[in-house]
Amino acid sequence: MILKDSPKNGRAADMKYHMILWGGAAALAFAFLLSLTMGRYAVPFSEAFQIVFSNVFPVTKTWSDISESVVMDLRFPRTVTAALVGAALALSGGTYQSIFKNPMCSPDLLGVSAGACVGAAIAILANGSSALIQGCAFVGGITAVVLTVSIPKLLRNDSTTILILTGVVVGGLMNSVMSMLKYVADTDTKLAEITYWTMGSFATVTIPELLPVLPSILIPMGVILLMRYRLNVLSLGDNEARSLGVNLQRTRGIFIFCSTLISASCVCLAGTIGWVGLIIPHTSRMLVGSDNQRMLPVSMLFGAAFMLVIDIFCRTVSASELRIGILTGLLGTPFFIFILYEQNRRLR
Amino acid sequence: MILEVENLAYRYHNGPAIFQDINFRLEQGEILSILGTNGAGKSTLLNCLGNLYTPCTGEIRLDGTSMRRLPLTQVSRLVGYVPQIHYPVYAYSVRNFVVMGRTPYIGAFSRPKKEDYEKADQALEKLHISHLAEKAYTEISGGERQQVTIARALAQEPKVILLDEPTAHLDYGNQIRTVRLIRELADEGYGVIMTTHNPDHVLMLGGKVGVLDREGRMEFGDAGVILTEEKLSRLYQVRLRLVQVEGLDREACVASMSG
Repeated sequence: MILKDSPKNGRAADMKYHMILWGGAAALAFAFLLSLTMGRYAVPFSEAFQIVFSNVFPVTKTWSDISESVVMDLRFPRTVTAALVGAALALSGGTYQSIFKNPMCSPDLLGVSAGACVGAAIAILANGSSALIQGCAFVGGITAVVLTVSIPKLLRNDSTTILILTGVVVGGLMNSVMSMLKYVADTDTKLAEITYWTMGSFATVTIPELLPVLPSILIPMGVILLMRYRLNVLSLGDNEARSLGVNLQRTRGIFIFCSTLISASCVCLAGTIGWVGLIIPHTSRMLVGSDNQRMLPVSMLFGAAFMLVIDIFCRTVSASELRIGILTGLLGTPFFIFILYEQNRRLR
Repeated sequence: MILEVENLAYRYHNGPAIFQDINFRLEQGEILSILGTNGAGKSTLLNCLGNLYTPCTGEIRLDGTSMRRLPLTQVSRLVGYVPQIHYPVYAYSVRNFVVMGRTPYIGAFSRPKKEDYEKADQALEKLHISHLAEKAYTEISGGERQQVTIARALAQEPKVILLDEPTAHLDYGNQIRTVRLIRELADEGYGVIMTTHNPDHVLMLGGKVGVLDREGRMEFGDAGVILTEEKLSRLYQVRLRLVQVEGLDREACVASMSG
């Protein structure tokens, strides 16, 4: 992960990068522990630390069974899931932004999340197993992203705005299909299940629910991280990448496959969570530069920490839990306008 | 290294041929300038040579092997491409941009190593633009960006460098400096192929010239032989003279204001 630079590479930039990387890691560790202690049932910081620790090393038990149960059975799965989904969405957003040469892309803006919901809803209506639901969510996500990317191609218009517009249109289409599916669903059984599934929440995630989805997030994550230098080359444009010897169809296909699999799996775990895939890579790029070798690892750390903070907020701010999407939406929209403003200024 | 082109033709989806019957051969250290009017297909031809478009008929051979049969990475180790304008979306540092020229040598799961950064630095040094290394590629001038893209092609360590209208969008001084740089590259042994709208630049460079006419056929030969007043006047439909310039020891192409 650490660049071995010759003396001429910007020393200051290197130091800044390492500081931000370690700062991000520290923030993530802190948010992780905080997430274990915060909530209706207070568990002191040190105790939470000891409880988690006791699962790996022998530690004399000084805490109550309730504390242990709250931390390990309720908060630990929730915390791991939130961190994982945050990192995953940031990574897939950053990947989409590079391959589509468009800093305004994210799983939600491309319609991937909505497509995944449609796929899952169809599987639920067909009484599918959870594996089938997951598979259909992926197919739905891929369908959405292919639609979104193909329309500008047909129009022979590769501007930043047209891709976002088609993303909105495809997302809208998917939402209509979703409403239709809900309309035909059995009100007593299926409708509730679909609604419950698409809402998603970190609150209800258990380890047995998390495990089957884990590989479909971790493996594509690993692939993207290993291949991330290719993202730099792809982001230069098709002709440039090809003249540098990159097999475009294959490389881009792998990236689209991986980031869509990640996004769809996140929807399976926690429903649609907007904006994180846009905000986090963008912020990371402002901090450490566009080089994906640095930007993506930083994005993942920030994404995880950000999602934990949001989740902590959602469960402590009021008596009943706030939906994650509400808060990310509140933060995301002004940020989106800020990016638009920046883009506009740069083009002028 | 020899680049051979045989009976090359290209057409877009059943349209008329953009060019046809293109034949030439380029040795190491030679310059080929491609002249032609607007829309004559110069860039399309260059894109075929750069492996970006697949020609409809004919063959391009690199050291005797057909380009179609070479893997993409192999072609990109032999042929470097400098596009006309490149609109960057992301603000990579110049150094990071130049190091991308090393992509053909870097595996899909790998990342540039110390040697690759060193090659990038050498390329920057060669063009005397080391001071730009840490600047954002989006924030340098058009002339600098041109040089940076040439540096990237050098980091690629190709045998042939293709340049699509390298002097377009440059001020007069940068145009001349670019022409001189092309001369230097050829002297160092690179084969250089460029398209240009300025016959004067071809006169400065000498070497080989290919003149694409409106029918998409190319006349190929030594610049000194092919570039005559009559031929250039007919190509561009303007009256012009080739005059020996005293004190500069070279011929210049000068157009008339009438006829």
